[in-house]
Amino acid sequence: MKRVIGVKLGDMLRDALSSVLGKPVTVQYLTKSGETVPVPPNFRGVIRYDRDLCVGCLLCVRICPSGAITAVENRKVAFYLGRCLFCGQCAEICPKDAIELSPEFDKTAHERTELSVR
Amino acid sequence: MKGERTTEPEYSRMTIPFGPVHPALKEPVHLAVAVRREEVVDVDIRLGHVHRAVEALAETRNLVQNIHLTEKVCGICSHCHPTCFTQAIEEIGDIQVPERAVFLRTLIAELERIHSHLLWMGVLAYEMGFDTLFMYCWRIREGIMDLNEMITGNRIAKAMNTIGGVRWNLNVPTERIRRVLKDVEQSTQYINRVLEDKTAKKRLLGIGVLSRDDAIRLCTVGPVARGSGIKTDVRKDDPYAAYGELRDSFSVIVRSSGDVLSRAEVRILETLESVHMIDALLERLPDGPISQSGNVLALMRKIPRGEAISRVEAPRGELFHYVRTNGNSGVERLKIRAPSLANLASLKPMLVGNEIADIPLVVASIDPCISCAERVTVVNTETNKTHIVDVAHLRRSKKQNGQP
Amino acid sequence: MVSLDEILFGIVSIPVVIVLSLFLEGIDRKANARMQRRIGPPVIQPFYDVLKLLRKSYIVPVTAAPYIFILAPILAALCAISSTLIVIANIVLKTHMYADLMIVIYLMAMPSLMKVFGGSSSGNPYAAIGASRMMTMIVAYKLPLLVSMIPAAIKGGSTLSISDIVQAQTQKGVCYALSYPSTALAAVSFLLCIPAEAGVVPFDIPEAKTEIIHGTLIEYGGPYLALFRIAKSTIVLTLVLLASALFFYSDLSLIWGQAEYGFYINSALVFIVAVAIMLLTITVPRTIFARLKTGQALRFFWIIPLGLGLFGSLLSSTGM
Repeated sequence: MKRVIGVKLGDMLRDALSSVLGKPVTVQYLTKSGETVPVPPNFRGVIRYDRDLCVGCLLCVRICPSGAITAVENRKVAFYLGRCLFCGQCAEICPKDAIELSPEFDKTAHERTELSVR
Repeated sequence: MKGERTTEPEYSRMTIPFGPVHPALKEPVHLAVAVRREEVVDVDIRLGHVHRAVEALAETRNLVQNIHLTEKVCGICSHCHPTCFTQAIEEIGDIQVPERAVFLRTLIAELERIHSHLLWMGVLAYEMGFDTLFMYCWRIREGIMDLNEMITGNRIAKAMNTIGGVRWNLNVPTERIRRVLKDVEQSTQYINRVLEDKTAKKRLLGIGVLSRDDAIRLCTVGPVARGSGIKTDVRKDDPYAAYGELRDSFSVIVRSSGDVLSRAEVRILETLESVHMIDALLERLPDGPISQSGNVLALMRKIPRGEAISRVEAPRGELFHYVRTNGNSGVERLKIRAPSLANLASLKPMLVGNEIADIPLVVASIDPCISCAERVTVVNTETNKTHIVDVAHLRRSKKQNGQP
Repeated sequence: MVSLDEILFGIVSIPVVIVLSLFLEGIDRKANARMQRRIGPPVIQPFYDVLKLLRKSYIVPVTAAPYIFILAPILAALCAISSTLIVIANIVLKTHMYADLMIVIYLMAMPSLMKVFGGSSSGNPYAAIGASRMMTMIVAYKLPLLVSMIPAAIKGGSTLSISDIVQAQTQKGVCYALSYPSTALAAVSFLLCIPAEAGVVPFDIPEAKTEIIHGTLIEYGGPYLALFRIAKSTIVLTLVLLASALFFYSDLSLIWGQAEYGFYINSALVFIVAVAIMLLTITVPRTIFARLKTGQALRFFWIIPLGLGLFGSLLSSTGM
C-alpha cells in the first residue's frame, strides 16, 4: 500500500514542485505590453476585401453559411463580421481572389457598424 | 438496515435538481434526482435546454452551407458531424473521394478523438475535486489544439470537409506531429498511473455500474458500451474513411466491470491507440489531390435526389446521420442521432443506489454532449406514428393552444 | 481594571488579525497556482474579494429563518477572530489565562457550527445536504484534534495554557515535535487534522463545488459571505499558529544569545513556521489530492489521526 501511495504522491508532488520552479504556461496577453498569442500564418481571421478586384459575380453571397455577405450598390459586396463564421468558403470560391482571411484575430468594436468590411 | 428503510417516513425523500445550471455539467441538462439522505433513489432526465432546431435549419440551406451547420452542432465533436454528413452526400452523388483526402479526414478525426478524451479526463478529475490533474490534462490538450490550428486554421471550427474531399492540405512537417504525439503519449500514461492510485481509485471503483444486459437493452454506444463488455466500434464493424486500410494498426478496447473506472480506462487506452494509429497513418499517407476539381457550387448542383445514411465513430460513440436531398442542392430532411442521446437513458440504472457524491462522476463518465443530443421528435401515441416538427409548426401549434 | 491601553490594543488588533489571515490566504492561492503552472491571482486578491463583497446588497432568501441566517456569519467571524487573538496574545505577549487552550478549542468549533446553522436555516436543499455533511465531518475530525493536543498539554506540565506549553518548550530547548515520541506522534496527528478544519481538499466535502454547489454557504452573498470568508481564513491562521506554538516552538534567542531582540525574533519565527505549516498541510494537499467521500473521510480520521493521538497520549502518560 505504501508503494502505491508513494508512486502517486511522488508523481504528483514532483510535478507540482517542478511547476513551482518553472515558468507558468499562461500567455500574458495584453497584460504584459507587446505580448500576444502566436498564430500560424494560415489562421482564418478577419476578412480582407479588395474592392477593385471584385467583379460582382455574387458567388460568395450564395455560399456563405450564415448570410454575412450582402450585395451592395455598384455590384460589390459588404461583409458583416458579426455573423461571419470565418469558415473561408467565400475566399475559396471567389474567382478573382478578391477575398482573403488574414491572420488577424483581434477585431472588437463598440458599434455594430464598425464590424462591417466594405 | 433494510428494515429501517421501509419504516422510514416518506418526507425523508428529497428531490434535488441537478442542473440545468451546475458546476459539474458542461452543458445544461435537468436531472431531477430523488435522494434519501445521501443515497440516490430515482432519476428523471429532462432535455431541451439547448435545443437549437438544427434539423429544421438544415432544410433552409444548401449542401455546402449545411456542412458548416452540422459542424456547429457540437464543439468537441466538431469534425464527426461534417464527416458523417459529407459521407452521406457523397454516397447520394456517387462521388469518389481522392485517397489523400480520405487519409487526411481520418487524421483529423483521430486528432479530435485524442482531444475529446483529454478534455474528458480533465473534466473527470475536476468532478473529483482534483484541480491539478484537470489543469494538466488541458495543458496537454493545447498541443493538439495547436496542431489543429496549424493544419486547418482554427482550433475548433476546423471546417475540414467539403463535398468530395478536404479543404486544407497537410502543411505541418510530420516531425512536429510526432513530437506532439509523443508528449501526449507520455502524459496519458502519467494520467493512467495517477488514476490507478488508491485515492482516485476509491472514488471511481464500483461506482455507476452498468451491467452488460442493461447496456444492450438501453442501446448504449461508444465507450459506455465498451466499458460494460460489449465489443462494438464502427471503425472495425463498418469501416469508413481510411479505417479499412488501418484495420491492423489499432484494437478495440473492452472492459467488463461496467463502472466509472472501466469507462475511464477505455477512454485512456483509446487515446493511446489513436496515437499509434496516427503514427501508422502518417507513414502511409499517399500523395495526390485533396478535393474534386471544379467549383463546389457546380458539384453541389450535380447531386441528385436521393437518401443515404452514414455512420461514424465519434469520440462518444456511434453517430448516425440520415440525409435526403431534393436534387436542387438542398436538403429535404436531415436526421441526426448523436451518441449522447443513446447513452443518456443509461443514467438511471447507473445512478440509482449510489451516493450524491457520485452523481457528478457518473454523469461525467458517460461523457454527455447535450448539444448533440437535442433533437425533437413528436410521437403521436394514438396512432403510434412519429413525425418531425420544425420551429414554424411548433409556433403555430402553440398559438392554436392559446399560448402566446 | 482594564486600562485604556488594553482597550485600544484590543480594538486595533482585530483588523490586524483580519489582514494577516487574508494575506495568508493570498499566499496559499498564489502557491497553489504556481504548482499548477498558472500565474495565479495577486497575493492581495483576498482583500479585493472581501472589499467587493462588503459593497454588495444584503439579501436574505424568502425561505430562510432571518435571525439565525444573519446571526450565523456574525458569530462565526467574531469567534474566529477571538480565537486567533487569544493564541497570538499567548505566544507573543505571554499573557497567562487559565485553560485558554480549552477556550480556543471552543471558539474554533464555533464557525463550523455556525455554518451548519446558517446553512440549514437558509431553506435550500443543497444547503441541507451540506449541513448534514458538515456535521459528519465535525464528528470526524474534532475528536482526533482534541486528542492530539493532550500529549502537548501533559508534557507542558499538565497545563491547559498555551503560554505554559510554549514556556516548557523554551526550557527544554528543542521544540516538541522533535523531542518526545509522544509529542511527535501528536504533532503528526494535529497536522493531519488541519486540512479538515480548514475545509480544503481532500476534506472539503461540505463545500464540494462540483457536487452540491458550495454546500451550506449557497444562499449567502454580500457582506454575510464576506464575514464567513473572514471566519474561514482566520480559523486557518489560528490553526497554523496553534500548531507552530504547541509543537514547533523554538526559542532562537537562546542560540542567538541576544535577549533583548529575542521577543521580535521569536514572534517572527512563529509566524514563519506557521506559514510553512500552512504550505505543507493546506496548499500541497489541496494541489495533489482528490476529494474523498464522507464515509471514507470518517473512516480515515477515526483510524489514523485518532490512533496516532491515542497512542501518543498513552506514551505521554507513561512519561515518554
